[in-house]
Formats: sequence, C-alpha cells, structure tokens
Amino acid sequence: MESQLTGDNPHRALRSVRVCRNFRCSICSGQGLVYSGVRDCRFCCHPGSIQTGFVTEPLDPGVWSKLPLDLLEFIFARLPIDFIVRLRALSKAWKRELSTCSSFTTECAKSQPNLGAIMGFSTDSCWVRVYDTTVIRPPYENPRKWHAFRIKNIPKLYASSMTACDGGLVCIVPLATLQPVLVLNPLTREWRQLPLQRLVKHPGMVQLRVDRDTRMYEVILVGFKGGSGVIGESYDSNINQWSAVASGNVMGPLCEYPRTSHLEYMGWVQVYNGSKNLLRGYRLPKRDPDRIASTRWRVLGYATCMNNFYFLESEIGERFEDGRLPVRFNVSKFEEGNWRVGSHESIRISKPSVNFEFHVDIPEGPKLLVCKSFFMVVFRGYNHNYFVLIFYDLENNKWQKFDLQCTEYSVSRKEMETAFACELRWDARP
Amino acid sequence: MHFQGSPNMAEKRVKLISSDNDEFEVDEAVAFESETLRNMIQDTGTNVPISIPNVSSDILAKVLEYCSYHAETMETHDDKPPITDAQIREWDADFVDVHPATLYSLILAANYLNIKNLLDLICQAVANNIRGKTAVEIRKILHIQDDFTYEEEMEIRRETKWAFD
Repeated sequence: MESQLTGDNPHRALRSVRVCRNFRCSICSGQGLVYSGVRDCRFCCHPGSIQTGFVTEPLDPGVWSKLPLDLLEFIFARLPIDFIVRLRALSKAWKRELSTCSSFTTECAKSQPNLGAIMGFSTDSCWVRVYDTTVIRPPYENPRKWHAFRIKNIPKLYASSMTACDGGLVCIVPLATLQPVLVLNPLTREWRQLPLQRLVKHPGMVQLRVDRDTRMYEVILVGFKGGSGVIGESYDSNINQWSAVASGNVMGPLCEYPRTSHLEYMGWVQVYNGSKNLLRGYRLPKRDPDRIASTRWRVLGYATCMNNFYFLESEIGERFEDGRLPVRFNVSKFEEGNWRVGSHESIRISKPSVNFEFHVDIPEGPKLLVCKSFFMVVFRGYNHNYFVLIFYDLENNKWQKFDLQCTEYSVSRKEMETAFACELRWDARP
Repeated sequence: MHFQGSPNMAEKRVKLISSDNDEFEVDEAVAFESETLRNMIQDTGTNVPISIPNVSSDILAKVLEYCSYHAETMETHDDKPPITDAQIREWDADFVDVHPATLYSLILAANYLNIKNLLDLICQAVANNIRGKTAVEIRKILHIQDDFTYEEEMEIRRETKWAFD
C-alpha cells in the first residue's frame, strides 16, 4: 500500500492513497489507515482488489483518551448499530452501560429513535436481526444493514412461546407450561419475569402496550382458566400487579392453544370482549370490498398487531415469457374502529387506514410481518438463498425494498419461518 | 482581528476574546448560533467584550466561520438564489475535512459554546473515522483497560462476532 499526500495543505485529514477494498484489511489498519466513507463512489468501480480512495488520519491516543465521557458517548451514539452493539466488548464498564437504560443508551435512542428488527427462537437461544435504516450504501464492500446477535441467557422454556412487541420491548409468554411472562429489551438484553398471573392458566393471546412518554407498560393476557371458561388479565408495570380485564376488545391471531379443528383456517382471528367476558373466533373477509372490485385480487395473508389487522392481497397478472408471474401486491391496515364484529362469526370492515401497493416479480411464499410502526413483506428468492424484503415505515410513510442473503449475518430460511417483527429502542426498560 | 460576517447586515456587532487574547468582532446573528453566547449577550448586552477563556484563536476562528456561514444560509436575499441543502452539506463536509487533532478541539469548543448542529457535524465526522476500528484499536486510542477474564472475553466474542484480528 503506497500513500502520498494530495494538495498543498498537510493538515488536511483526507489523504488519497491506494487502499485495499477490504474494509477491515489488517495491513491497512495496521498502518493506522481506515478507508473512509467521507468521499466515495468515484473509485468504487475500479476492478481488482486495490483501488484509490481516501483514508483518514489515525486518532492520536494522547489527545483522544482525554475526551470527556459524555462527548465520547455522543460520538459513539452516531455509529451504526452494528458498531454500538460491539462496544460491549470494550470493557466491563461499557458492557454495563449497554446492558440497561443508561446515559449512553438514552443518547443512542435519540440518534436511532426507531429500529426495525426481526427476531425468533432457535433451540438454544433467541436470535435477533436488527435492520439499521441509517446505514446508507457505504463505499466499502458488503454494507451490513442487518446486525445479527443472539441472546443466550433467556431460560429455555421460553423457546416455545407467544410474543407481543411494542415500544422497544418484547413480551414472551410460554405456551407449554404455566410460567411467568418475560419482558425483554433485545438491544440491551435486559429482561425480567413478571409476577405469575393469577387467573389465566392457558394463555391464548397476548398484547403489549408501552406508553412512550412514561415508559410504563401494560401486558394483556387472554386465555382459559383452570377448567373451562375464558378470562382476560392485565399487568400494569406501574403497580407491578395483575388485575382482571373488564372492558374493551382484544384481538389476536389464532395461536397454537387452544386449537379446535374449524379454527385452523388462515382467515380467522379471535376477539376477546372484556365487558361480556367472551372469546370467539371470527372469519375475516376474503378481500377488501370497498377498494378492490376486481376478482383478480385475493388475500394471501393476515396479521394482527394490537387491535389492528392487516391484509396482504395480490393480483395475478399475465405470465412473462420465462414463466414468472408479475404480481401487484397490496397491504391494507384496518385500525380498531375500522372493523367491528358482525353477526355470523365474521369481522366487518370499513375503509382501511393505510393502503400500500407495490410490485414484486418473485411471488413466492410471501409472509407478512407487522408491528406498530412498520410492516415487512418477505418473499423467497428463486434459488432459495436470499429473500426479497419490502419494508414500510408506517410513521414516516417511507418504504424500502432490498435483497437479503441467507448468511450468518442475515437470516436463514429456517429462522425466517418462525420470525416475528418488532421495533427496538435503546432506552426501553422492562 | 476582525471576522467577516455578512456585509449587508447593519445590526449590532459583538466582540469576542479568545484564550490567547485575540479579539474577534462578529454580527450578533452569528454569535446567536451559539446558545452559550446568546445567553451571555442577553445578560450583559453587546457593549462588553465577551471572553471565551477555553477556546484558542485558531479554533474560535473556525467556529465563527461555521456560525457565519450558517447564519448566512438562514437569510433570504432577493437578488441571490437561496443556498440549497446539498450546497450546505458539501460546505459542511469540507469544513470537517481537517486533522483529527483540530476536530478534537472543535468538539470541546462546540460543546462549550453549545452549538448543537456543529457538535452533531463533528461527532459524525469522528464517528466516520472510528467506524472501521476493532475493539483492540479503540481500547488503544481511548486508553480503555481490557478487564475481562479469558472466559468472559470468549463469551463476548461468541455473541457479538467482532473482528478481533
């Protein structure tokens, strides 16, 4: 690696050098040179492993080790999430700082207010993939928008569970045995078990509602009492106690328990009526009748989050010459108030509150993952080692489409089958 | 030493004195980019020179260059087209293209003078510099003691997959 100064000002930080395209090349970093993303693009297309780029001057320990901690935290909070999570490896003090709601994680939450993630459980641990919208395509190769890590210290019994997410927290309810509900912040990996619920012995639905201002949260659990009979119970983090639900609706997908034969069909949700203490399964409409008159549209999937539910619909078009199908998709969101339970065990809907239409020419295995602030539609790529993801930010009405390779840093096919979406916040506290 | 603010503004001027006793004179609007100076001026008025004991002349000149450019972008001129966001970003990128030692002094100055946008800009520039570094390199730069036991270190490596090379 050769280097020469450009320009006439030796105090300029950026030097034009020939650097390796490998962004963490040990030879380059050994000389204190790091390929910098400040000036990019012009050089990225050069063939071969060596290219001309700009590198920044190394930071002098004599100066930078004196930086006050609050300013250092301010700098670190501006790094991609991938880097912030790895700061746990610096020292015990930094690990502690990143393991709870601290001054640093509060700073991180300010610069990265809402992070999208998908997560799930494998046999031995909980895996998390965080999607960092702040990573723009950097000049070095293989930009990692996804950050991968595992949370190892969660008891194994939570691997088979129902989940609910809101405001940076994930609520995990084990299905097999009667065990306390666990609330987790996947970013700080801080978790705690709630007191054991008193009434619900066999949980069937769970919802989590976090108050963004006070950071207090409520867990609503609906299920069966010991013998028969349905009951709803809610936990208030403010008083650390469970109490019975007496009013309001709770909507959820049909989960593993309880399962009766006619409820297995995809187009059913269950709604618990708190005032009548009634849990019933309801059939969802076959398509959104107001917006789409054409019979070419059909519903491919449903999802619920809080008391809102989402349709994933598609319209099949003419086949391409190579046999692929170009497909127009639509996701519509119906908030509570835009749906009501009708007679004949069906849900009636009025206008959707959000409609988002998009095209994908890989119409294989679409899966809809939703949470409060965003939704994702996941498609399987043709040769099964990548996914195509549509990511839609409901709060800012922004969407992105990208490919996702099945590598250790992204998501494997098996993991995607059981994945759920959640939003993450650095400063959420279980 | 006089600092050139925007020429067509006939308003109050503020005198600032750096740590090495150089005097700077700027428009009030330029000084108001700094929360700290704004508070001081509102307390004492513009007649008294304001001394800034912990910022040296070259750094203060650089900070005021930033403030006067950004105060200027706020103004609207009838004869000139407004400065676009892309132009401001380009100017900002040039502004932080300095030696890291200068960035260090600028961070402290921006923090003391409480100029939020400047602090954001410089911190982002430093963040860009360190984003490719490994744990070992960062410990070296910040003089952080690695106090993990061997087992803890291995556990952390397993869960975070840091490039430890």
